[in-house]
Amino acid sequence: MGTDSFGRVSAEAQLEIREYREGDEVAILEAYNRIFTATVPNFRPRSLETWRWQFLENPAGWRMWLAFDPEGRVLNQQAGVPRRMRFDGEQATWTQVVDSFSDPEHQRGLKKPGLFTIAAMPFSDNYGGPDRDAVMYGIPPRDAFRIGQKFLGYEAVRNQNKLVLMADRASLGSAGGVEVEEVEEFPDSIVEVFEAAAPRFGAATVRDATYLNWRFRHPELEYTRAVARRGGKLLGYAVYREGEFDRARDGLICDWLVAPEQPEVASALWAWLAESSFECGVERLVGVFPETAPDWVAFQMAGFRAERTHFYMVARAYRRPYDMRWLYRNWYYTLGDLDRC
Amino acid sequence: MPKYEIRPYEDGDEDLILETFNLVFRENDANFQPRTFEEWEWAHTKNPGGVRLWLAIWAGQVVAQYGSQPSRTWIDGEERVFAQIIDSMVHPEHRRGLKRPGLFVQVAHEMLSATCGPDRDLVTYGWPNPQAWRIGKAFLGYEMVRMQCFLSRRIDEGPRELPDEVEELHSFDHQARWLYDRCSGPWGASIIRDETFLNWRFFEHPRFEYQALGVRDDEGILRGYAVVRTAQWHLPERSLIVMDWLVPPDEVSVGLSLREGLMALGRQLDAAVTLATFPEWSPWFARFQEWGWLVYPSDYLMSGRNNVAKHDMYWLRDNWWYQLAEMDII
Repeated sequence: MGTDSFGRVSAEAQLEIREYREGDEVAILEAYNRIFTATVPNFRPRSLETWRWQFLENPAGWRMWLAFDPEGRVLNQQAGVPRRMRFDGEQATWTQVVDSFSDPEHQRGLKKPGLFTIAAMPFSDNYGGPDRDAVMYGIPPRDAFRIGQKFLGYEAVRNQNKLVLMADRASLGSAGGVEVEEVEEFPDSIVEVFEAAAPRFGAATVRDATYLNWRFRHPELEYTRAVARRGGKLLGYAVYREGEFDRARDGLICDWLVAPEQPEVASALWAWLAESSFECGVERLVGVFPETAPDWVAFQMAGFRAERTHFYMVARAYRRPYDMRWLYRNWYYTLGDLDRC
Repeated sequence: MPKYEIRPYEDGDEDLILETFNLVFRENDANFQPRTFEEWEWAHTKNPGGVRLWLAIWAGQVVAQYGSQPSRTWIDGEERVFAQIIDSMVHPEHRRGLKRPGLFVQVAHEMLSATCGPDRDLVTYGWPNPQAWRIGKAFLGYEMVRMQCFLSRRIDEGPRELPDEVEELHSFDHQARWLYDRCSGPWGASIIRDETFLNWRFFEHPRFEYQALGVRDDEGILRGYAVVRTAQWHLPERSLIVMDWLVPPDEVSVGLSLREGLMALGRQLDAAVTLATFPEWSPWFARFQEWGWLVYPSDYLMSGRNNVAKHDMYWLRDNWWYQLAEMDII
């Protein structure tokens, strides 16, 4: 029992700190919507359906630790969205850290760093590890990065840039012989595109139908998906949505994967993305990729320009010898690997 | 365990420093060329920003060094100092000297605590190799400002003569400061580009040969400049490396003239590509892309260590103007 020098029960000792249990979602959502409504301009409250999609329906599972006050209110949460990864040739799980919040009205009386890390510490201790979630990552707000850096071992992988195509600057090459088809659902064979591309990546989310059909079938957000084939063979896909990212509303390339050495497939998918965005009045098409991604230069050749974002990509690696330099060089990700689109 | 004397550099230490420097930096560099006294002097005692060198001495030998190269910096409306960490080393026979975290960190702590703070050197920065980065992160408060991207473009066929409006500069004069003042308004922080800094950095360098191109207006006023050198560095091909670029972003015609001057000079010097870097927030980052430069990743990491909370890595990333002039090895 935590007590101070006068024998009083400390604020921490009055909290129940534990992993998520079925039924907690009502209290979680109440706290989440209350806290973010008060602190984030234009915040749109999250529905129970969306919450269930993000956590319970994720085929890779859920990660969640909570701190409750004696009345059963959630005062602090640390949650994560795990992903099945191909990591240096092996299967692994990485987790994107999301939805860190703490109730600002209950900060007083707590030792530093206060509520912010009460759930984050056991979250990290229980889920992170060489044989558990090998890497945790995210693009946190500035304050969360500072706290994570100090108390949770977060490090910057890179200052995150984005690629931007203005409507009048597309310079697309030939898409000869490539057919692009919009689909409601990704076929099982989509994994062939991933398997063809994967040897070029040291680490990437396994982009199979299970993952893609979960990630881009959101209860509230509308994505459009297209696959590209030549001679009937699946060689690439892209996912698009108009939405907000990095303080702007743009056409977003939510996911992108093209088999190696297939410039016509890339051109065909860029044309589809341009049509999906610019013909609907969107002025900018935006994608997030590592500068080390194989297609980074090809995007620029097609007219995309690099711009900064306000974010750092941040991670903690639990498995040696993988460090931030390795992640910088070898990890392929897109906006779809984040909860920002 | 040896008892080390840790103290600031004193006049007369040069030969001992150079002896250890040339031993340490030869270790992992097959192309290493020993540093001369003139180069050492240029880097440290002739730096107009001053000297910051702390040494560990044992048995009459310099066995560790941690140093920086300070520069006058305009930040938040006043002149302060940013200092580039350079020439850090530990003699191979003393890498296990002192218990964790070791001799290197102890010398660094002495130097940083003596020279850095809200009222002293405001920011230290550098381009650490992976080993120095690991130690710096763990023990010295190093953080990432950015992973450095470079802009690169092939030098295609074209004229080899400089455009009429572009001239080669053989030294900088007081007009450099005028130009700097015209450019630096929107920047939160930048090393002051004046004749003292620029002539020291480029024209007094004892090893590297730099060339500067300038554009003047009808009254002979300097409207923009670019300093370059050729080297096979970062890219496998001989490159024309833009070390410093100073042009007001809204004076695009000056930039265009310098761009053409760069390409012509590159052809004269048989360079295959050009290489430049800008903060991503600079209009020149976008403009160079419009001009056909592509953005490539590198393994160079700009690290920072701030002494005022406001100037954290987000702030430095978004407000600090620097160029390759701020990298000592090139």
